[in-house]
Amino acid sequence: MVRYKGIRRVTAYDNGVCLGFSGDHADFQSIDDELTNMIRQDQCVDDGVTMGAKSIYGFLAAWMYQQRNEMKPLSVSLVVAGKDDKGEPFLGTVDQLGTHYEAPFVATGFGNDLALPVLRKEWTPNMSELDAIRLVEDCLRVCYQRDCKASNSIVMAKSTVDGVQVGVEYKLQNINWQ
Amino acid sequence: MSFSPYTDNGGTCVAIAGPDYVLIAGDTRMSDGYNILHRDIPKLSQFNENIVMGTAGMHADMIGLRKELGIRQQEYEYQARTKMGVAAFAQLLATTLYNRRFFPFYTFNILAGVDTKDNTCAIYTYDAVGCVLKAPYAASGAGESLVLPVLDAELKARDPVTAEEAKRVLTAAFRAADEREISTGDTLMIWTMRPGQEIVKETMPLRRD
Repeated sequence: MVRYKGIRRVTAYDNGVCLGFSGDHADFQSIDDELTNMIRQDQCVDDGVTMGAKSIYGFLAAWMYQQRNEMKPLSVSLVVAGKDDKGEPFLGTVDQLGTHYEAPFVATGFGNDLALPVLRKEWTPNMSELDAIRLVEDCLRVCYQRDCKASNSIVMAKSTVDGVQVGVEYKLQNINWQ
Repeated sequence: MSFSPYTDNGGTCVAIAGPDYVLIAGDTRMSDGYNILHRDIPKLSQFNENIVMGTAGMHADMIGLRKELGIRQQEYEYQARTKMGVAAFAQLLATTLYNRRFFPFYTFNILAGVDTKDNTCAIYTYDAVGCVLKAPYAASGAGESLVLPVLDAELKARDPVTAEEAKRVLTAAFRAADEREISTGDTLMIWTMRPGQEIVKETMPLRRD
């Protein structure tokens, strides 16, 4: 049974970082609280240097690993997106054991089995934003078709040179049930 | 189903030592069960020009172990005012692993390097809890049982081979592993160390299936 509908799996922070998750919602809320405070504090210090996506990713990797060492895991898989300190696009993932890596595309949960094959076939380094959005939609469409717990309501967050934005929720169209 | 703090991200490391060289190699595949997570995660880490560690097993523990060792190695070099040699680092790795005897690092390490005392090249091989063995060649990880017989056939109880011949043996051994072992593949990184010289780092493609 779907217990809660309309739960968003992506969020964005003022410093241009997007965070997505799969897994325990309570643990994600705890992480979200902690990051919000950390980023706010970083801005208040006002020393001209703010944490980028790579710093947040490093922090999350260390924190998740520490929790696993204490046998108190944060039961989520996280995706961190944004810019690194040099302004280059950054994408990384961290899981509940502290396994972390950067890659041009990542997936969590069922996405590892369903979406990664599509991404490996279709991703190119110089994709336009529109092509990337279509590719992500294609992946989510496959996940909706094959994962019985998935829904066709999706939300995307985007990080560009102009800033970060969580998009509106919308439903995937053209689902082929044949 | 309760939480397990461990996973095996697969992969294989191999090292061969000779009179004046040591080769250490590792594949770059990181997997989780039947999924490939990444095709380019190095298993070799360089601590200084004398010490290289190859690690197979759990990726998160590999990074955690590298960080702990890196801190101790830097402290040693600040206090002793000299580069750490592989024999000292071998002891450090053994004690670091054994300190976690009752919640081990899920890592299968091979250490390769130059002993600064007498300028010889050495390999040390470990289990997950710090049992250490100095050996002329070693393999660890998922492909260990496929690689070791190849090394034994070519190297055991024979005159020491040249570095080029050792590289040929090591490459052949890795091809045996990547052919039949699912978590080994993608790219092979081979690092060659010689006393007083910079480490020569090479890569070679392996099977991507």
